Amino acid sequence: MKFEQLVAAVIHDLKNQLQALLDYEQEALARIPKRYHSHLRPILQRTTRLKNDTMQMMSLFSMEQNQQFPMDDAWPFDTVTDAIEATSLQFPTLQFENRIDENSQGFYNENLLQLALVTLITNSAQAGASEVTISADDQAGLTLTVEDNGHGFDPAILKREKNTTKNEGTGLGLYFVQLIAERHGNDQQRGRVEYGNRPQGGAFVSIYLP
Amino acid sequence: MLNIEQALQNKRILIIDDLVQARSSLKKMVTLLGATQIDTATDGREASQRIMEHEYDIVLSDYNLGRGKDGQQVLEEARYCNRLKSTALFILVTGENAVDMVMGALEYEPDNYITKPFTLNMLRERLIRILATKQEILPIDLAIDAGNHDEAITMATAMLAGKPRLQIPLTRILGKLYLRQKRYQEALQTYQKLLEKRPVAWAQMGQAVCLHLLGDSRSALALLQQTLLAHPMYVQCHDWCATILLSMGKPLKAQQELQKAVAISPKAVLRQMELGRIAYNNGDFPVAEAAFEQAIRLGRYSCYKTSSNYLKFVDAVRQSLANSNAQANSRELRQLSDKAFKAIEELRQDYAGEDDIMFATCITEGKTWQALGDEDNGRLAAQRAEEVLQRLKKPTLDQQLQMTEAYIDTQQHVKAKNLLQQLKDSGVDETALQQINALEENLNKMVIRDHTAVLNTQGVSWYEKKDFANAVAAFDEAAAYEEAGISVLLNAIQAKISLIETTQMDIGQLKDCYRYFQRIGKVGETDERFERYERLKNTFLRLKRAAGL
Repeated sequence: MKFEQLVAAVIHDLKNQLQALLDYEQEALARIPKRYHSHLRPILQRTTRLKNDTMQMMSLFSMEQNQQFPMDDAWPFDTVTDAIEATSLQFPTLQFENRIDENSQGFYNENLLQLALVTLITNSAQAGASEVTISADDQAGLTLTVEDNGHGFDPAILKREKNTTKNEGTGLGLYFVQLIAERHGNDQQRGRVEYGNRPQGGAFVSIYLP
Repeated sequence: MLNIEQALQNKRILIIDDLVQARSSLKKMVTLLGATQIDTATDGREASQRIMEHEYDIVLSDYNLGRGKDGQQVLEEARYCNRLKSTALFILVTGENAVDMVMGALEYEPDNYITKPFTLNMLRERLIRILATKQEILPIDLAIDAGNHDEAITMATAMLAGKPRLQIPLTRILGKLYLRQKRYQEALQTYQKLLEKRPVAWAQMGQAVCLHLLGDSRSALALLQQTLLAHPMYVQCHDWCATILLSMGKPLKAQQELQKAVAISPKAVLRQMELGRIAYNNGDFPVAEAAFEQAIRLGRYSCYKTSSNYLKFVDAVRQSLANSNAQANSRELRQLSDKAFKAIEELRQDYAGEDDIMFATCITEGKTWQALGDEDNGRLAAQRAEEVLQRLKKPTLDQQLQMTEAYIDTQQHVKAKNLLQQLKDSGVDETALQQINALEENLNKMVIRDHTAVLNTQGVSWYEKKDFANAVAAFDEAAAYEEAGISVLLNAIQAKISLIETTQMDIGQLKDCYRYFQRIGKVGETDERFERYERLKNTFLRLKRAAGL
C-alpha cells in the first residue's frame, strides 16, 4: 500500500508543478511583447505535452491499480472542447472542427475521455493531418468519432488487427484509448474502439461507450 | 445555452481554499465569468463562520483545506445546521483522485464537483452545465424550500418522465424526498430504475438503505459490501453498515465498520461521536476515548460543539483509568487523567452559566477523582455538585439519583439516605422506585461494610490487649455479615486459635474455624495473605488432631 501511495504522491506533485509552470508561462506570454513569443511558445508546447503525458501516466497507474474511475453525466461537446484546448497550442497549424451538438449527453469519466481524445488528436497530428473533425452520436449509448486527413493507418496494422485480438502493433496510443473505452460500460456491455481508414483518405477512430 | 454572466450576476458566492494562489485565481476566474458578490475564506473554520452569517447561492470549496476541517466537513456542517437551501449549490473542487471520497451520500453530498486542474474555459463549461440543470429543477427546489414535499415529488416525477436526460439529478432529489417521507418502496424503485441504466454508486447505496428500512437488513448489508468492493473509499457505506449491524444486535461489528470509516475519513465529527458512543457501550474505552477526543477537537469551532462530547470523553477516560491495573504505565495514566481534567476545565469555562451542564461536570469530575483513588478531591467535587444542585430550580430525578450515588461514593451515608427518603416521599413511578431501591441496597451494603470495619478494629484492639474472648466476640459479629472479607475471617480464626491455646480446647470454636476456612476458599501463593493463611491452617490442623477430630 505504501509504495502505491508514494508513487501517487510523486505523480501528483509532478502534475501540480507542471500546472504551475503552465500558469507562469501563460502569464509571461501575456506580458512579453509579441515578437518574442516565438521563443516562449516551444517551452509552453513542451510543458503542455509533459502535462498530458503525466496525466496519461497517472491514469495508467490507476488502471493498473484497478482503481475505480467514477462516472457521471457528461457532455461530449465540453469534453471535446477541453481536449482541443489542451492540444491546440501544441499543434498550432491543426484545424479543429467540433461537430457535436451542445446538448448531446453521455455518462462517462470526463478526465479519461479527455485523455483519450488528446491521444487521438496527437496521433492525427503525428500522422501529418491538417484537419481533425470530431463528431458524436448519443442515440444508443455514445459514439465519439475522430477523423483526420493525415496519411491514415498503415495497412499492415489494419490487416494484422483483423487476424489477432492482441493490440500489439496498433500503436500504443490507440491501446491506451482502448483501455479507456473498456473501463466504461455496464453489466451487459463494455466500451470498445473501432478504427480504420476513410475512403477519401485519412484515418477515423470511433470510441463506443454503452 | 445559458448566459453565464446573467446567471452569476446576482448570486452570492463563497470561495474556500487554503492556498492564496488557488483562491485568488478562482476568484479571478469567477469574476471574469460575471460574478459580482464574492466572499472568500481561507480555512474550514472561517468558511463555516461565513456560511452561518450569510445566505450563499453558490459555495465553491476546495476539498483539501489544510490542517482543520476539509471541504466535506464544511458541507456537512452547513447541511446539518440547515444553512444551505435546496436552491443553493455546494460545489466541491477536488484533485482527480478524491472524487470517490466525496461522491454523493444521501444527506451530505455536494451538489456537484469540479476536478482540478481546470482552465477558465473548463470552469465556464462546467458552471454552465451545473447552473442550467439547477435552473431546470428550480421549481422543485423552491417547493422543497417551502416545505411542500408532496408537490416537489409530483413535479420531479413528471419531469423525470418528460426529460430522461435529467434522470441522475432527479433520482437524487426524488430518492431523498421519498426517504424523508418514509416511502421506502417508491425510493427503492426510483434508485432501481436508474441502476438499470447507469452503475451509480450512490444509487446503489440508496437502494441498500431502502432495503434495510423495509426490513431486509441482510440484503442491504450484502449490497453495501458489494458497493464497497467497487468503491473502497465510499465511507458512507461503512456508516450504513454500522447502523444496520447495530440494528441487528451486532455492536462489535458495527464498531469495526465505523473504525474503517474513520480510518478513511477521520474529520467527520458526527461519525466520531457515533463511534465513541458505540465503543463506549461495547466497553472499548480506549477507542471511545480517542473518538470523543477527536469529536471535541474537530467540533470545537463548529455547530457540533456540545458539552456531551466532553462529558463522554471524561467518562471514557475514567473507565480506562478504573480498568487499568498496577502494571499500566503511570506516565500514560497521568497524561490520560490530565486530558480528562483539561476537558472538565474547558467545560467550566465554556458552559459556566448552564447549571445542568455544570452539575453533570461536577458529578463526572468526582467519579474521575474516585477512579484515581483521590477521595479528598472526589468529596470536593461532590460538594460542588451539591451546591449546583441546590441552585437548580427543578432538579430532575436523574440528577438527584446521580447526587445520591455521589454521596454513597464519598461515604456521606446520612445525606444519601435523606435524599433517597425525600425522593420516595415525593411519590415517583415504578421504574424510578426500582432505581431508588437499587441505590438503597448499595447504600446498605456500604453501611454494613463500614460497620464490619468498625467491629474488626474493635476486635484487633481487644486482641492486642490479649483479651481473646472479647476479640472473638467482635470478630464473630463482623464475620456474621456475608460481606466480610478474607482479612476479617483470618482475624476471627487467629483470635479463636489464640483463645484455645491460652485457655482450653473448644470444639465449637474449632468448628467455627473450619467454616471460616471454607468461606475463604483457596488463597493463592502470590497473595500477600498466603503466608498467614498457611500458618493459621497448619495450627488449626494440629489443634484438630489434638482434639481427636
